[in-house]
Amino acid sequence: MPTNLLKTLFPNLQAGGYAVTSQRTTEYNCIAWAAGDTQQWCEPFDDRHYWPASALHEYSLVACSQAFAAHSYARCDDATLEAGFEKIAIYVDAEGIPSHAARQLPSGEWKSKLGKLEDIEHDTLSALEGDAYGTVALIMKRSRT
Amino acid sequence: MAVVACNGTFTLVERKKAMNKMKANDTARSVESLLQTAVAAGESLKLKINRRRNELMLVDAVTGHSARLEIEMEIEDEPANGASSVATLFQELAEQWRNETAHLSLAIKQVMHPAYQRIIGLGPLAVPLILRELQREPDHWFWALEAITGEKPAAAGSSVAQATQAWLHWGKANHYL
Repeated sequence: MPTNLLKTLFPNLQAGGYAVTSQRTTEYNCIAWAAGDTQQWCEPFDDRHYWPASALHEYSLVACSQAFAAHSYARCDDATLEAGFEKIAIYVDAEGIPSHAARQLPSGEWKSKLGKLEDIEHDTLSALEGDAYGTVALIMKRSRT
Repeated sequence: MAVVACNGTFTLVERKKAMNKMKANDTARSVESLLQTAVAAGESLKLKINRRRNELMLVDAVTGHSARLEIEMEIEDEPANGASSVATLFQELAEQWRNETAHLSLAIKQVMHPAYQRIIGLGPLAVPLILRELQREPDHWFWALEAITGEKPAAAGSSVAQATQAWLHWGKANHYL
């Protein structure tokens, strides 16, 4: 994706700073990537894609949090870096439907897979907030061990 | 609907050039005479097709004189020009779809995009175009292919790469590729 298009889609991205860290691919999406899976597209659409059996098969924040719970994540209060824990953030659109997920790096920065595009590292969660992905609605964490 | 082949090789197009006078609605000899005159003069005649009456008429474009012509013709539902325009439209829609959905994290939002839905609406003519696009770059074309063909060659839970291979194999087996 051209850099100017990234800036158009995510106007807050430039202010916070970011870096592209992978080639674009359709093999996995942000939810799979945040859960540590780069082999599958994770979505409760139908039997075409992976979705944890223990999670509701619907497009909702509850179902998405259940999908991450299947990967040992639990809800937490904030996105502050905590030693020994890995955090993920779930974004929702204006209708409350999950639109994106980002994963925190040990440095405290965040990393995201942008749809069918590249992975990027971004300094803050607000860098991807806006019309495209909406706002962060939920933070979850799991032990890094 | 369009004539794609005739029993004989004719290139009959309208040209405004004086022709020998002929009697209207004459016999086969008139047809032959018209053709001979046109060929000798290096000119062309106008061919009129009355589909309702399955009738062909050769017409002198200038004088309006005509003769009936009986030939066998083969008619195809989708002429080459139609396929060509579908290919052009497909490329426009596919590019729009790629540009406007590339950042979306959910396939359901990608396939509900208006351009994607219009591609499904193109029907069977879009199948080889989609397969070639899939061959060029794996992407979420599987809903469109399933919707158009009713087929489902990719196993449940396939990765995008696996589903792509399954559809390309299906396309070759069914002579789309």
